Amino acid sequence: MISVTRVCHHYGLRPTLDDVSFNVEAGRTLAIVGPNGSGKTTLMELLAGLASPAEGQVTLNGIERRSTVDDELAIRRQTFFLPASSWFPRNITGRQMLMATGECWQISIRRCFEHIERLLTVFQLGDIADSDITGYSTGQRKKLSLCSALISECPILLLDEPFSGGLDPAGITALKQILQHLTSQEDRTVVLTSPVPELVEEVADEVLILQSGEIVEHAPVSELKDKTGAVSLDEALRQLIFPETQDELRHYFEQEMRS
Amino acid sequence: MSDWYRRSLPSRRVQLAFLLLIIGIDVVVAAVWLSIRIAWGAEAARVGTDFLIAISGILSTLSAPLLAVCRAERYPAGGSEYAGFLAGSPWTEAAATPFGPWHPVRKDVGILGVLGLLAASHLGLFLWLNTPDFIISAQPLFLPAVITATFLLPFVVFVLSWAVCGYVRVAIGWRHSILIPALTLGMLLHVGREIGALAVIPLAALTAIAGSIAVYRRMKSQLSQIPLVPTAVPSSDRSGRLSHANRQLCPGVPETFGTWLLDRMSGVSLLLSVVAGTLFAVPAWQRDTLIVLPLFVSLYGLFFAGVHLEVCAPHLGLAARWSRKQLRIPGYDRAFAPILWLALSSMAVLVPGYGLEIPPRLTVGVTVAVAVWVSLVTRVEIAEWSLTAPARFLRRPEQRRPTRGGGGQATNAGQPAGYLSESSHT
Repeated sequence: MISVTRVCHHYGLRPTLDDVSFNVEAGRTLAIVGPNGSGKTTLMELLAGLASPAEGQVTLNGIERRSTVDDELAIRRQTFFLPASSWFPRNITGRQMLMATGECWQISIRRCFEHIERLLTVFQLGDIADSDITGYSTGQRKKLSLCSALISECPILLLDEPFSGGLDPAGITALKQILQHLTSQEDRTVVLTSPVPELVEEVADEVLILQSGEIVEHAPVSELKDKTGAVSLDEALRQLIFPETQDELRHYFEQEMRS
Repeated sequence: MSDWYRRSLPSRRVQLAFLLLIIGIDVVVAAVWLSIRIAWGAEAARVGTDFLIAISGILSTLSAPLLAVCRAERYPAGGSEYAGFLAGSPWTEAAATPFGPWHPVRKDVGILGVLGLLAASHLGLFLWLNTPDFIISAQPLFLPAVITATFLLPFVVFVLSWAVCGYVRVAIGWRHSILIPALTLGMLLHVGREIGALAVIPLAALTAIAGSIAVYRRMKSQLSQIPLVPTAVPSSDRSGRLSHANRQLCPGVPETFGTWLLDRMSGVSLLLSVVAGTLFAVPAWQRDTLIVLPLFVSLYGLFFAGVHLEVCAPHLGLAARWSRKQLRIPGYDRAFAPILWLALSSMAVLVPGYGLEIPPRLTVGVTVAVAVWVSLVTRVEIAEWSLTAPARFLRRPEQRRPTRGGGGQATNAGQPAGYLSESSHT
């Protein structure tokens, strides 16, 4: 379970998150959505322990993040954070990178071999698995980073914009189905961000809408749609976050027609 | 094994390029030598091929620093993306770094052995082509000694280059530190030409071993910090800069010219060493002037200790000690012992060298090597010093006031505000 309590954070004089509190139960997928610059990535970094909140606390499975060395290491064994743009080592193959990641999270070598093979097949990386990563395309790198998150077998996955970065439709489908399986069958917890609601509607159990560092809404997808009377999550979010967009578009086209 | 090679060596392209270059030159040498010998005789063949053999030999020796640079580059220096990756994982310094080793490992002996064999065979061929009569008439141990030294050269160059690259990486995080071993190699060759190549190799080996031990300890120590620090380090953070342990033990001291100087003391030391080394190596020094060396070392040490004391711990500085009539604080002064050792060791080498009338340049070379060794190895590690020194010299975060009822901790009367007293010795 993830618990965020009254978290405030800022970069210099600019507040990024203001009094953010929410819980995510084990076996659930939370999608954090919001416009650009709303604080999604900052919130993910706080959840991942890359920074300490200026105020408030982040707790994962009952252990407070960044409190003591032992507690922090215990959390890291249970958590994998995948940033939007991952780092890749040089002079190493995709398969070796996955093996090294598995070793970092203390997965047995036998299990690593077997799991890597299946992941590479699902994400269509089998043909290039033994090639140097420097030769991979952007989409292939994204797939490899997703594989590294999955190979860790952590109970908590923190994925910052997992569907962006050149992922092809096959990769998107594979990731969606794997995430659904992990939460429903293996009781894992997934927190992901995306600026595009259509991509997360299928996988998310709950949606947290952030705007200017504050929570606008936190509810299950169905509840959100019922509340706004929208047929899709995309439409519901448009009504909640960008109500003025339709008017602005109408105004734009009217001006266009006149000129 | 192949996995280890991929993780530890330069990319396949670079390996292939070096190998092809060495083999290619050898093939050309053989072809040129054979054709010239058939057409014009043995003497003409020698003149036409010795240059190419020398190039090939140098290439096989230069592979060693390349390997060292490649290895040092795998060090997850603080603030790097690699360190960020590790800091997000449950990795601790007790485990190996996941993407290959960053320090010399046993398997290197195999590769360096091959490079040594290549270099030694090239040298043997060079000597045989150039001075066959001299080899036959020379002392019986000359050729084996030269060949053995050449065989060991890649090992020495590798360890030395790794130590230098590692030092630069932890000191300033400069990834393109390949220029430093190149510079060092150039200096070694220069000095080697002056006092004989055979004398340089043991000196370089001594410096390389001592330096690599010290650098390894420092790198390992920094590595242990990775799981503890947040990875979202602002680019302006300067905590990764290598400064003397004393500076790291006095956080919160306001930025002044003194702290600026202390932060750069390692760089200043390196620069002064290079300048001093060049000064002693290049001009024709007389035996009478050798005494300047330990004097220089001692004065530099005293300057360094003085700056530290007055900047970081004025309550333990010379004026404060004089006023308290307590000149010696053993627990605290332990960190300055290497300076004393440095001066003593310099004298210990110079005086016999002076008395035995050993060539001055050789004496200076040995003195510099011993001084470097002593300064690197006898240094007190920050963790050990801060945990075991009987003196309490850390700056207090904020001054506590006595609480009502006398249960609080009183301030230290007579001490500058913000510092705890030096408990065991006052």
